[in-house]
Amino acid sequence: METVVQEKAVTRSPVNDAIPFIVWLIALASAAGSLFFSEVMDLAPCVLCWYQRIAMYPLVLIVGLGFLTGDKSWKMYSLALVLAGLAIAAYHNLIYYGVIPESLTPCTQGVSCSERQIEWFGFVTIPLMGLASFLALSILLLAYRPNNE
Amino acid sequence: MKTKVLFLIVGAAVVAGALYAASTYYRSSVQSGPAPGKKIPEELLRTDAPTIGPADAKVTVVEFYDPECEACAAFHPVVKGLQKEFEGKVRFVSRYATFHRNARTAALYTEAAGEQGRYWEMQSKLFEEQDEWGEKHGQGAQPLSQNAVSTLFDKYAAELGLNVDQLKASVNDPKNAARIDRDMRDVEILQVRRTPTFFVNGRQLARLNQQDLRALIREELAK
Repeated sequence: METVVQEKAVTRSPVNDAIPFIVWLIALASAAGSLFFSEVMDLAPCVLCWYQRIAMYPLVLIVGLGFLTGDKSWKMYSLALVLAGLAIAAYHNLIYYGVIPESLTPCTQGVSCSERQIEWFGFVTIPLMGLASFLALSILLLAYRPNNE
Repeated sequence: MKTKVLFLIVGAAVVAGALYAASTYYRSSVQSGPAPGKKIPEELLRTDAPTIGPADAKVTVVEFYDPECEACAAFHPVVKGLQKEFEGKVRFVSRYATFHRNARTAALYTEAAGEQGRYWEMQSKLFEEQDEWGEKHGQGAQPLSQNAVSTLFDKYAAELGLNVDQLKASVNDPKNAARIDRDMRDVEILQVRRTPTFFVNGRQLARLNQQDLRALIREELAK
């Protein structure tokens, strides 16, 4: 009995409790941001951007519902999507910054995955923003310990 | 649960508000156009481009269009409506951005019709008949050959009562081809990437719709 109480005390931290909401907010902001680039600025998403969107958009609903209902499985479902997104984002950045030559990529039609469309403050690019989002989400999700309520 | 719902609502509202603010800011920055007093660049306003409306109008609307573009055809009635609505107050200038396969031929025919004083009729006719000659979509769709397209254009010209022999000579006139090529170079310089693209007194329309275009024209008229 005593050990259970102790365990609860360890896992129940305000930071940990805030993670689901923060994760949801990052996913929502990323989804909104990507829509801003494509719908408002008319920047056509390249193939790799689309794959990352596929991983990002469902998170808004999965994490949001998990946060609301207290269903613990949301972490597992989200993590699977986030890690897939992270892998694609990492690959995208390697191409974008010329580590992998573009001739080997599948982006031959439409928008090139290495075309520089945005460079804010000299270094903030769309692929970098995608990578930052997925990286932050991965770290937060891996750090999160669902409470045994 | 109630607190959580509130959290989600507030979070969503903040993100939506930020998105809205960013969109508004971005569109107004696109539409900011040349600085006051600065001249509209020559690439935007070529003196020999087809024009409707008074030469000394306070507001000049330049449209870059592709005769084979479906959005241009769909938006054409709107342009015609605005030409009527602002008759005598606004000058409308027509420029080419021949991105599609047979668009250049279509532009040549329009220029040629212009030599017989029927530029705007030919422009409308090509839009109206676009289904017949334009790019086909879907499985097994084959683009029409240049010959097939030219035959159709000759037919449209005859329907408009144009002198077809004279028209054919105009189509082969290098002067008209040069004008279309010049427009395409201007398209590059001005970074026109989609059609139709509108400029109102040098200010680029950020989002293609009737309300925004009319609002931009009114804004310039009111200056």
